[in-house]
Amino acid sequence: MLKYQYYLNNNVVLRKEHFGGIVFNKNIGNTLDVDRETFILLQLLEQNSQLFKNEISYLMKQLNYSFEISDLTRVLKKLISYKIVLYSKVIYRDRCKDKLSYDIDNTWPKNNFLSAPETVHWAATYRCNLNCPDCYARRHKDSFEEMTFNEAKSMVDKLTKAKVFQLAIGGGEALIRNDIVDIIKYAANCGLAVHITTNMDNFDRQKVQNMSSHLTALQFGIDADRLLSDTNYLKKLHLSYLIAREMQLNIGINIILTKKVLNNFDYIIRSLVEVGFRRIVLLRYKPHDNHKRWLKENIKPGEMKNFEPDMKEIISQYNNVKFRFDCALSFLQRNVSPKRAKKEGIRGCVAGERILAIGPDGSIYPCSQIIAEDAKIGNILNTDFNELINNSKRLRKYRNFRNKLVFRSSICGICKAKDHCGGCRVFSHNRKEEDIGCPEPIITDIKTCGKYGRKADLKHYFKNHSYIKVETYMERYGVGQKRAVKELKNSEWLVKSYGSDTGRKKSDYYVERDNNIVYEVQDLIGFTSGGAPFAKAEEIKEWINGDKSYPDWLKRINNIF
Amino acid sequence: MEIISVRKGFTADHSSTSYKFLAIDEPLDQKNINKVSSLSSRARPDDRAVKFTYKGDFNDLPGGWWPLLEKHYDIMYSESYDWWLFAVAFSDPDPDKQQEISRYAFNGLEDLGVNIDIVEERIIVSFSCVLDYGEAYEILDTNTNYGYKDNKKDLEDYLYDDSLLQLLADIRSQLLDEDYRAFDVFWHEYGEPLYSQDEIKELEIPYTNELDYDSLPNNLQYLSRILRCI
Repeated sequence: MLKYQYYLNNNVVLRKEHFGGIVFNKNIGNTLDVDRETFILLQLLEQNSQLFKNEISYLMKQLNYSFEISDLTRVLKKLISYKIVLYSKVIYRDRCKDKLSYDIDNTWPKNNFLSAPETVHWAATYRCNLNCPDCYARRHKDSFEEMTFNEAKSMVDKLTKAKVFQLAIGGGEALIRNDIVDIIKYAANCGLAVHITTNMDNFDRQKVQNMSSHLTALQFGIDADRLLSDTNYLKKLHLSYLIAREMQLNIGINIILTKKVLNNFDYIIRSLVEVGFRRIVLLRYKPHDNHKRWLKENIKPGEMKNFEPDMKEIISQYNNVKFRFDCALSFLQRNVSPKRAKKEGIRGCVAGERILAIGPDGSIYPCSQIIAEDAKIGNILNTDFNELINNSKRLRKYRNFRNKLVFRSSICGICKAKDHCGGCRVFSHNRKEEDIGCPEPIITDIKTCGKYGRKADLKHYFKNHSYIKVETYMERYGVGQKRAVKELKNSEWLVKSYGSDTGRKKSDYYVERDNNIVYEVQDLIGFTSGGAPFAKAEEIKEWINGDKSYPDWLKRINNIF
Repeated sequence: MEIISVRKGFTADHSSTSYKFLAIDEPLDQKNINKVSSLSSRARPDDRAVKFTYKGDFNDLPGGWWPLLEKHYDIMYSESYDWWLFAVAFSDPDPDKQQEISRYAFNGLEDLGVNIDIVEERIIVSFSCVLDYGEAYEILDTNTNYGYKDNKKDLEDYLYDDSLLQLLADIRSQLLDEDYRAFDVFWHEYGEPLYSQDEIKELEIPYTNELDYDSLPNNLQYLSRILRCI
């Protein structure tokens, strides 16, 4: 009788976690969170090389796990489809079950966080042969020492020991380092899936060939300005693509969503697809040290909202291209249902939990965009990595940012997508509150969002309104007059105003304390006969207060006032 | 036992779950078209056919495919991550015939095989299988541009445009004529490796472990070629 025997794919790595475990196929990148029963099943396959279904069932019962055989079949089918488990059809022989191994540690980690990140982003250097105008990393150019080759090996050893799955190498321009090929080889030999991001200008054929068999994926970071203005750039991109293909590298493109890219999105994507790229990662435009340029190229929330349908339409035309958004663009997936998001591993900000960043000198940060002294978690070269994961207070802060009151009192904290988006911490003024660039938070239950939710929503309300009446507050939040008055009075950033102040027949309303002047300017400019202001309060605020799209914490670091 | 979440990797993967239904005996009236339409905002059923596609891993047809075959359609095929389900449905009130056909159900290798359900007069036969894409390329590559309100056609057009639907329509027709050799083809691939002749006798399964390929009609020969084990 022929039966199927199952075995674990050689490219799969298992890591035990409190909920069961994480399973990673380092060849194709599929990452699965599985429950304890499924993790035990995979461990049994790892330990026994090949098992028939009845043997799996027998062994799991020995470990006190019971389940329906149909569940086992269903899960095996899924694991096969994700290339985690493989199978072969062989003549069935009833093996002596005593010879099967089930020596498995049946205890589970007690911490409710991951034992290590899935991916570590390592900025191998911040040096670069180019000076791209939209590079966020340029400001770090002279701020970091670079670790030596032996130190890099030590870093890799620690990551491997902690069972990190992927090392994503970037910069700066990582290929500038003379020892980068050796570091990649070492990391790959240690079992890490290694990715590298490079600009093409340093695409040294020999260097890339030397590391090609050790690389899991290679991303080209492209300069949209040059793509749009320099015809040779596309040719060069094509040539680099062909070389990378010849080396059988898994190639992709990183492109930053600036206003210029937005305005030429269709053309850019078509050009990249024509060159041959089948993986395109869209990156959010991050604040850099050139504030003037930032103001010119940053996409405002309203512009992003208008662009979204077009972007999705264009993307949907390319069925054979995999588009990905970086986690800072998680708001683009805000309309995915929370249930689906959970199943598809859409998690939004995972800084400090599923990802960590390491600087050229070994400094550890929660994410590659949050490179600041007050966010530094330690240095991998002189710290016990596991100790740091388990005990770092700063790390815990980023891991659990969604539970903090300051977040819950922000608009991201009451958004329906908070668990699978949460906004990018880079774009929060103090890295704790709301993402100031989100085009459209989804607030569906204002009346049941509690006092912190009301507090958050009220601030959001004032983005489009210049005042709120007590009765509007009562109606909007479904609260009584007493509570409405109390909460408005307790909002320190609001001040009570009266109709006589502005000459209009309204009373008992509240305006922003610092923005009485906005109101006065609005009155000076005047209103239409229908009562609509000629200038919106938001516009006037921008005239008076300046740019609010650049996060405060970065303003301080970059000396932008 | 559960896979909690799946984050797809570096390589392009556009897996989806899809269903295609066709009504053979009777077209749907507007009321029933509306009912089918209400199942998905993106489905655009006409009076004969409908297609549902669910991108991503964890969406699926609300209520499952079953009620649609029970009430509205006569044949269906579905693909989900390379696992295929073929189904044909027809009405036959004769209890003897119902009993006879139900004997052909079997659960073979990897739960692949034949399932037969009878609800009053309605007999729903479903085949779980895996296809050899090399052999099946021809039928999977046919035009499936149907199921759109602005593209109404005759039944023959639907079958002409989609060879897999044609194959299922032929199987349905054969089953209605009490020609059950389609079951033999599935048995040969998914049942035969699991059962000895003694077990077949003991369980009174109406199969023999021999498939006379040459005597099969063309459609079943083709079916035999496109089926494979996982």
